[in-house]
Amino acid sequence: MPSRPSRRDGAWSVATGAVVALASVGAWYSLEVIREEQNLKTTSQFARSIAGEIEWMLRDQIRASRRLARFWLRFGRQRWDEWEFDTRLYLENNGLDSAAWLDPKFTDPLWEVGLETPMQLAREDDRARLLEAQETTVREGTERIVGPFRLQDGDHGYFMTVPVGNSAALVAGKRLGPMFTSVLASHAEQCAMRVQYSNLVLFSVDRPECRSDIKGEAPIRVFDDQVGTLIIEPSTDVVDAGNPLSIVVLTGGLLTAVLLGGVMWTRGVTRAGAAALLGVNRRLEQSMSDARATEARVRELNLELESRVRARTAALNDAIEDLETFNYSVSHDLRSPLGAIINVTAIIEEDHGARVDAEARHHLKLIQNSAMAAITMMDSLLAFSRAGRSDLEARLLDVRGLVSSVWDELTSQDAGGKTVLKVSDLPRIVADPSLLRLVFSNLMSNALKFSKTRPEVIVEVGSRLENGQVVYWVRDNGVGFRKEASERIFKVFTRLHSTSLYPGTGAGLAIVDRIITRHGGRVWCEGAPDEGATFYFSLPGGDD
Amino acid sequence: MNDREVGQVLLVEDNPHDVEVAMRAFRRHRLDARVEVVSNGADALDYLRAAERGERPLPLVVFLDLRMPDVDGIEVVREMRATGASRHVPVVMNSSSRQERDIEASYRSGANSFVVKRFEPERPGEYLIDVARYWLDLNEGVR
Repeated sequence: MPSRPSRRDGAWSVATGAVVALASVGAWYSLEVIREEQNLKTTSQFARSIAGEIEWMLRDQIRASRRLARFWLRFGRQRWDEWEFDTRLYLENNGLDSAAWLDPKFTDPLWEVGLETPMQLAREDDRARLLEAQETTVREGTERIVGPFRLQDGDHGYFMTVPVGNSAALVAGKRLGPMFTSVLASHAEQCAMRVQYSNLVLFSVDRPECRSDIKGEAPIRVFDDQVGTLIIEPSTDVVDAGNPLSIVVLTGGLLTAVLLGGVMWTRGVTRAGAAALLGVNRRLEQSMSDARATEARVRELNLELESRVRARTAALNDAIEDLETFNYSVSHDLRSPLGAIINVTAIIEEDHGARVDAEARHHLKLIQNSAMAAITMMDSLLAFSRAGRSDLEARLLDVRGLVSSVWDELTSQDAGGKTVLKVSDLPRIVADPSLLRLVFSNLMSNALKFSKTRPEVIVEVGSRLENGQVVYWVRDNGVGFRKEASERIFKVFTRLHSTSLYPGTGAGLAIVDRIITRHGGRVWCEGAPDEGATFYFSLPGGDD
Repeated sequence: MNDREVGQVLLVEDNPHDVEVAMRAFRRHRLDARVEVVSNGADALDYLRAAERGERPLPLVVFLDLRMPDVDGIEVVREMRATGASRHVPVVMNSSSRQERDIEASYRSGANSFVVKRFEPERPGEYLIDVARYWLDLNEGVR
């Protein structure tokens, strides 16, 4: 190895240094381009997800407007004061700007307006459609909800109306401005943004520190009608949260170039060595750019996931609404015909009892019992669905008092047999009073029911603390059940014993399960044939 | 108003089976009242308006089916409570569902009682008699 670099070695080291430096600059440039593209992509995805949020809210509020209009059709005219009161609640809870009879400014409810008012509110290209709807309702003498119609350009939003004869109309509407403010404000820390309708800026948040060279755009649509365009300029935290990779590559590369040149100059390193180092440098660049791409992809997927969750939630809400309507009609519309079957068979028995032979009477009884069973099952099913739907009211409850009052209620009509209740320590707990009562009532009435064959019925109720939760139990000395059945037992309409021995629909434990699950707890049970059963449920908390 | 001494019960019910069952129960128990039946909300309102004009006596109690096509029970009771002498007439809502929102809407509209239709093979329609006895025999209304 020479002690001083030769002229030839010197030329090589300068050339190698220059090549490495050039390669670094090239890599830096292409990384910058990639970053720009990815930033643009991320930004427009971000814009689309915010626009999706706005559209989702809009749809929700249009639904609320429609409900309100339906409500008015049914009740509005008969009791003005109540209607006004209910409407105010509606406005406060649903974010509608106005309802009822309105003045064009959307401020004071006016209780009488002419048909021309909605016409003044509507945007020009929507007026023909509105006029037609008004004329149809007058001609047919019907009343129905029409719209949404768009507000005039100066006042972005929509409204719905119920044309009523010649004199008046109900309007439920929403201005978009305040809604943009509320949705966009929640993202305002991350972006500069504005909503534009053609050249008119409807809403804007300015953030000087946000980059101005990256812009994302997304249309905001309501019922296929574009109400505006959202334009965002995100801050670097949103699109460029990682290290400024291209700068690292550039400085690293240049440094390598100088060092490499220097090293070769002093140590006379061979071309092969330089090439190897160049290779290492390239691989380094490659792996850094891979990492960068993966990070961008993860961010992309997150945004996609958010918008999908929103869409699913909306679909789910619709489905729940449908189900409620279904339940409602089942409870009413099926009860009546079943009731008629029960009543008519009773009438036949009463009027023609003497002339009907024993076998026919038996069959009549069978028809009657089946109809009764169907009504009972429907009632249980409704109770089950209510247990999952009603709002929870959390209160600190005296469980000991609750248990003894449920016991008194259950045993008050009990004629024969000896029944004993043993209560051990029962801490107070925060839960819904009527639902927790239903839980104890179902468990304790089961305990009584399935031990009725015992000479002495013993029902024990107790509790223990376990992992920060309170576990309550209800135990009986009754007929018990097979271990394998303990999974199935909480499913609705599951019965482990025949109806003739132990009447019931099999909804009781399903209701218990649903109530406890809604409280954030869990239910389970233990039992063996002829050795009694214990039902456990856990609830979070407990104060002593 | 010559038959003031015989009270009137107005039964508003669109289901003919339910009407038949109710009428049988009323007949069997020979209540000291005449039962008038109308089968929809609009007829019920006409009946009451005519009573307000003195063309017939006001009923002592109205049994009102909740769910009827067109003018439903809620609308009838609201209309009754709004004006006229029928605002004081006791109204018992009679429904086959016990949905909370129906019960709430009934009381908010001014109903005095809410009774769920019962289907008891041993005593069809008898629950109506229990309710009617209270309103006819025990309750004091505005005369």
